[in-house]
Amino acid sequence: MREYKISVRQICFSLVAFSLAIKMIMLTAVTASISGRMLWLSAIVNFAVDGLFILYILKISEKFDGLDFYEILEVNIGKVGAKIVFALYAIIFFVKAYIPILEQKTFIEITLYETSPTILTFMPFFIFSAYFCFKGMRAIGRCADIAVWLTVLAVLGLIALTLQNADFSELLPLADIPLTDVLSGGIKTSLWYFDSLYILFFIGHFKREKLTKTKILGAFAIEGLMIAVFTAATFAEFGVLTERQFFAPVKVGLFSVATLNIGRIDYIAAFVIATSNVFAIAVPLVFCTYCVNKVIGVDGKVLTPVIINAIMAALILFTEKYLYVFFGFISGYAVYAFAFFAYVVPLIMLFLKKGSIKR
Amino acid sequence: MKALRSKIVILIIAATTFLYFTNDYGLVDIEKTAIIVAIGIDYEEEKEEYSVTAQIAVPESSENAVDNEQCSIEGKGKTVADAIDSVGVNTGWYPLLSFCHIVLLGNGAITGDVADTLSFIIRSDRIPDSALVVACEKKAKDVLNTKTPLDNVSSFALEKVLVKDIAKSDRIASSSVKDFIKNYYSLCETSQMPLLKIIEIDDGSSKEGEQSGGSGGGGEKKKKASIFDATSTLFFKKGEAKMTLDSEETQVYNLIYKNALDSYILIDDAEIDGEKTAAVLDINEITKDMRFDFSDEKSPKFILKMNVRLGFEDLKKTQPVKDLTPRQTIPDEILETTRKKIEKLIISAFKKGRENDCDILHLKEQLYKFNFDKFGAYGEDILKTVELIAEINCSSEISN
Repeated sequence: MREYKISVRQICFSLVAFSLAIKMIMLTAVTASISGRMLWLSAIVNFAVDGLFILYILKISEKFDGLDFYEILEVNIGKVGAKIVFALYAIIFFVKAYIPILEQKTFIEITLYETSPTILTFMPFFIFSAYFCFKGMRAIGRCADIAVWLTVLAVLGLIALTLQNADFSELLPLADIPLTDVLSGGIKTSLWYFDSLYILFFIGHFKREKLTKTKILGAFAIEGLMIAVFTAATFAEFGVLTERQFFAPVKVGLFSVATLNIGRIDYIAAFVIATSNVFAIAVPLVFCTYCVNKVIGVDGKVLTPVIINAIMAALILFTEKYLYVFFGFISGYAVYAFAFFAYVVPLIMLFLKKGSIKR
Repeated sequence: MKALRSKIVILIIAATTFLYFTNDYGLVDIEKTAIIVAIGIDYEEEKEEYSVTAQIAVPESSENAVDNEQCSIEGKGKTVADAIDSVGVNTGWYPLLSFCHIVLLGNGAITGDVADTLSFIIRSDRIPDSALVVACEKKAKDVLNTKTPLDNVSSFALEKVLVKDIAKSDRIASSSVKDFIKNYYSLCETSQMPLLKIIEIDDGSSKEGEQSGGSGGGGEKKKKASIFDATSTLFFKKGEAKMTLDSEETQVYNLIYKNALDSYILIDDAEIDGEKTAAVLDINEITKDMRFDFSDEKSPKFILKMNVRLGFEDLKKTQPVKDLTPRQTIPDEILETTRKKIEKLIISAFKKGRENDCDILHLKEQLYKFNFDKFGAYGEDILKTVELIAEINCSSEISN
């Protein structure tokens, strides 16, 4: 008999709390640099693709009657095959975690420090991250229960501050931006997406309820809507300068009358997002740990998360100056590997045989 | 398990203290920090050198006011960043620019492409893009060292003049660095900033100065106090200063782009009961509509419709007590005079802009955004070919 690790509510909350927070920092500027004023459409395209795959994964998982992703692979391609696939997924999650961690580190340095602090100040994050990874999916669910309210309020607060100076005519005309730019903007920023990957690994670990698909897709739609509005409002405020607003949470509220008269109240929202992001950037490492545990055949051991986080910490320590170089590599090449594992592998599940497990 | 937790807690505390004792969390000591509240940028063309005067916030007691010159530090360099860096290098104070709300450009710095000077602020995260940018008739350093009765620190006084106006009367076409650069890169390439004039006033200090100079036999002559006027607006095309809108033109320009409330219009020759008198009208509400009309393909028109609701604020004439209310109906003659005045100012500002190649109504951008299908045909020469039609309607606050 196996226990469920997470509930449908917690999955919904984690999408809004963490997947939303992780997209709040650099995504807007990077998308604007490629898609221009159609950045919101690039975001919607990515959300639409991810949303379709979330729906597909939830639907196809019904066929496997309670099996989790590892068990589905084990039943169909054997233990060794499942371990190889999971080893590859571990690499994917590890690489997927890299840019958001470096992004969060830079964001903290820009918002909290006047001069560049030592890299060591960020290192304690990995102590937390290792503990979070050790606790696994259960920790994601429980933290999402709390963080969702913080993230939603912070994002709504930032949108409200942005709207005061937003001139939405900046998003016009809808013509004159080639569709290729919109799609290119979507592809090159997709490292912040692929949320369907998490759903793939959640299957079999939550109890299906009435309207499970509607609830999860509803939460995802809320996340998508908030990002589309935020990116559009940011462009409406900054126009062609949007691509320079790398750390949007501390930029968008700067021009509101409230900020000018009272002081930097926008920093409250920025700090809240930074707090939610502490969990959000550790989420891919949780799944990386889960995959590695499956590969080496252990469960609940302290050593795996410690080693994974130590490797990531060392990588950050030695490559922190190369954010834009690594970003270029990941957004230019690695995203295709992400797409393969997030979209193509789940499609193969169509041809796998059914299985079941007693709970 | 308890022992393991204790060990982990000890490890975390050790790691934290290690960070504290190695680098103090990377923080700069507050005593070594100069909190800069405004910078003045001057440029000497002969030396090809920028001079940045930074006004720093100095804690003071009410009895011991600090003079402007005492809280200003200056640095020179080949670029603005270089000059700011030399402020830190030469004084030993770390220049903290996060609280810099005003950027003054001296008369030398507004020659040539101003964006060369301001792009540092957009590029850097050290100084907020929301800082207001102001052009000066004099050197920016002189403006920052001006003695004013408004505040002990000139930039605080200047901030009052500029920021208060943002929220209220819309007499000043204020512009942040972000707005200026955004317009610089826009299709119309026309941006603007207030032009600051210093008006000397007689606050009695000059007499005191003369007396003290006389009795002391050659004592230091006190500076005359001054106040600031930023109601004129300097327009730039591709970053080059091209033209100035005067105070009244600026006010009308603001009526087009801002939701001006609590702003006043002075009518010199208002006619009340057959007598000419001065009247001040309060703008209570403005609705605007701007669009192109291409019915005549050879001559596109830009129609600017503006409905202005007005109330009486003041009249240089005594009236019956029942009429002493802002809701008093304004006679049609005065409304017509006001309408003509606003129309004339809009047309004159637009013509001035056209003559100087400054697209002050952002026509090219409007055409691109709202009439994209016509942009190819008219876009390039829209400023030269368009006919501006200002349809102004003035009404009393209580009329329909």
